[in-house]
Amino acid sequence: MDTGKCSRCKDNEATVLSRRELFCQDCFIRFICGKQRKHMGSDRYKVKFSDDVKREKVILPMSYGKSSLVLLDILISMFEEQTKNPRAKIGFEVDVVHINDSKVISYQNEVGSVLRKLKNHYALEKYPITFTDVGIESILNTGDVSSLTLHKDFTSTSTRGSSSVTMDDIFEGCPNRASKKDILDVIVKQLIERYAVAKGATSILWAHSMTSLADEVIALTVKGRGSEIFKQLTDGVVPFGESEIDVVHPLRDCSLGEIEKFVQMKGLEEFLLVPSDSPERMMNKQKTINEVVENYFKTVDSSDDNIVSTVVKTGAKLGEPRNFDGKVCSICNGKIYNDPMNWLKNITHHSNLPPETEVEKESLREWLDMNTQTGITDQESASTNEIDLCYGCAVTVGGFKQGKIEWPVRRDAKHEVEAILSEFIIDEE
Amino acid sequence: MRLCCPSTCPMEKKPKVSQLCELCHCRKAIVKRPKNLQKICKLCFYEVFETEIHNTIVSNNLFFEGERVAVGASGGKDSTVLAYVLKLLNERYHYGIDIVLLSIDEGIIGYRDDSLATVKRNKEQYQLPLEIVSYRELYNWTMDEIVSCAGLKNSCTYCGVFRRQALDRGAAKLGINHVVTGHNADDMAETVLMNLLRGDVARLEKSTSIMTSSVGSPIKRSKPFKYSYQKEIVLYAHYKKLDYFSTECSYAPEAFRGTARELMKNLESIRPSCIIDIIHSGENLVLKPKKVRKQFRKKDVTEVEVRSDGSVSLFKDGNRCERCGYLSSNRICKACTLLEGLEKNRAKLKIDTDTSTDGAAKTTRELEQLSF
Ligand code: SF4
Ligand SMILES: [Zn+2]
Ligand SMILES: [Zn+2]
Ligand SMILES: [Zn+2]
Ligand SMILES: [Zn+2]
Repeated sequence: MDTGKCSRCKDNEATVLSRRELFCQDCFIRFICGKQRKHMGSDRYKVKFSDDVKREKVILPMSYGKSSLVLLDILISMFEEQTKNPRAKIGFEVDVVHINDSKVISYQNEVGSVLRKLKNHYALEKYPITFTDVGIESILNTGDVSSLTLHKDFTSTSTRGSSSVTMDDIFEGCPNRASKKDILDVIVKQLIERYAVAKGATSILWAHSMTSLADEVIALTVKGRGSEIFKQLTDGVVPFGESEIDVVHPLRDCSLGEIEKFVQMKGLEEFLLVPSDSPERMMNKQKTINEVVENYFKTVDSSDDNIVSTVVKTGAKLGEPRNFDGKVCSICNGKIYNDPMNWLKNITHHSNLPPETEVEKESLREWLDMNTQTGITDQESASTNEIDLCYGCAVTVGGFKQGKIEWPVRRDAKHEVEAILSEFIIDEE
Repeated sequence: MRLCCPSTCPMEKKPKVSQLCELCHCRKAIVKRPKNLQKICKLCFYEVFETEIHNTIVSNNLFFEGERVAVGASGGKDSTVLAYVLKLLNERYHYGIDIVLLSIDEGIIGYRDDSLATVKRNKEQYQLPLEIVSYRELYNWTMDEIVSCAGLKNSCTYCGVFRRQALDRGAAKLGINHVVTGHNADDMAETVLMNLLRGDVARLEKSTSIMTSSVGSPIKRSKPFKYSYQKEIVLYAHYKKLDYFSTECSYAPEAFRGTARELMKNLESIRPSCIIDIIHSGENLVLKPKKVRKQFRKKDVTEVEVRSDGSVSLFKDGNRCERCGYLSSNRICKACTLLEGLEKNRAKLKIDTDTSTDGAAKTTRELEQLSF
């Protein structure tokens, strides 16, 4: 590009055009860092001048995708800056946590080699930064693995299963990539949150760009998880059981286009973990909901990222739904609002017209014969319990073969309800 | 060739067990329910389709006994099926309502004139009274004229504002306080997505309500098809052989809505339930409580208007347009504002074109208006 000088320093040649402004490389990187600083401006992340002030313990969930690499790069540059003052101490430590899903998703490269390259590239020894690899299968240890079933009448039950369940068993009845992604999202989120609590972390930094937050707003809506948008889009201190964690999306003001330019300028491509599937070459039916939404934004929002920022701003205006039912979902542990299964029951009718002719009566007899043999009717066993599912998880499980999924149901689910109740009921009558 | 009804014919071949309806297990399945992909027979399809609408009506208390209800009838599939089903359910479940067809003639040659012919046939087929209100009598403009004057781009904006008022006025003329429209689940889901994509915060919370009415307005609106899939409405009309008009309006919907529709189609091919899922999300969207200071500032700007004579007036919901008397939060309602712009344009156009025929047309129009 030879369009002229950088509009910030008025000195260097401009190499990037972003938001109708010309930037040179240095100024563009400073511009993006500035956006990140705005969201990490609190004292938590600043240098400390005393030995007894505890360092902030930060979790950085790392997919080795573009946004998380950019955020890592920026955090390292923050370290660099903070070490410039010899009297000050770095204000926070980072645990870079990768949920390793290579058992269920195939990649072109391997996370170990990426990590080696990364450690070579940055001089990390000087900084309080660690890398952790959490296998996705560790979700199986978070509860008693059970068979969860969504029934035709929209009730759901769980039956204690064998303890030898694997990740493959979880995805066994999964109808398509879209549903697989739903479940993976739930798992990644839960593992990160559990890990953060277990390590006594004080913040989680999610690397979502503005574009991927916009994707999330629409995709959550499409998945029937509209009631979760407020949680996803509101930054701030959130209680997790006993502890409180500051949840921040530092790149929420940067579009994917800007992230991509940053990756290019800093040569971060070589640290990308690249999935083997490329949605561009897939039929629509094979895509995930998120991929379809992503593609939609690409086509309508090519110029100024206007729609994307509108969607994020709108999502950020949402709050917690009214009418918490006092129940949490057995799959995602999210709060359940407005009795969704009853809502479904009210709008879906299952009655039938009984047979009239002889042929019809005979057909019915034949069907009954066949189906009592195979035992399609539910066998209730002693170890079957009623469970609660949120709308979004019910939709996902409902799409699974026979409405069934193997899932580690949290042992403390009951206690969690009590915990939440005691938190919200001020005075027991 | 078969001479008798296949579902009751004793000579009918028995279907294979694997082909049986998933609900009654006794007749051959012929439709896959778009809503949940259940394979069911024709009779069960009628049963679930009609009963779901009945349940929606009852659980939301849409009607009261003796109520007079106007069906906004366009001749298209949604409103045709709505008129048919409402009449049927009214008789089956004794709602005790009085149904009238109310049509709006926007004045779109090649589209509305043909679809109105359909509504007129429906009037005979269903034995329901019909009232037609036209833009021409109400506003002295047809949509064709508006488009030639204001261009194609904003056609639906004009049309939407005018239709809303026209339905209210038509209902008022009939002494009816309740207009039901054929908006279906697909429309509702599309609206939820559009509101998010456009950042229409004011409409976000209420976009899925089944019954709406403006403050102070005697006329309420409801959408009994709120949870009915468009595809099921098409299937129902097809199997019941209902007479409807399927051509789209000559003024295609705005481009942005078009892209949202495309998005929904792609999503639906992955997960058919997504239409209902989106509506469920829409019903659970709640705005954060506003910060008090912001609210103050806003009120100052919108609610106090200084008149040209220096007096100050406070406008609230429930006020009326100074020109036409229609409900409006501003001094002049949206329709009158749009009309004003159009009239200015028309005046400009008149200078360039031969006005003799236009004048003649206007006189006849004014005569018609008198008879209205
Ligand atoms: S498509 Fe637009 S112009 Fe045509 S009838 Fe509908 S609202 Fe009016
Ligand atoms: Zn510069
Ligand atoms: Zn859930
Ligand atoms: Zn049947
Ligand atoms: Zn007016």
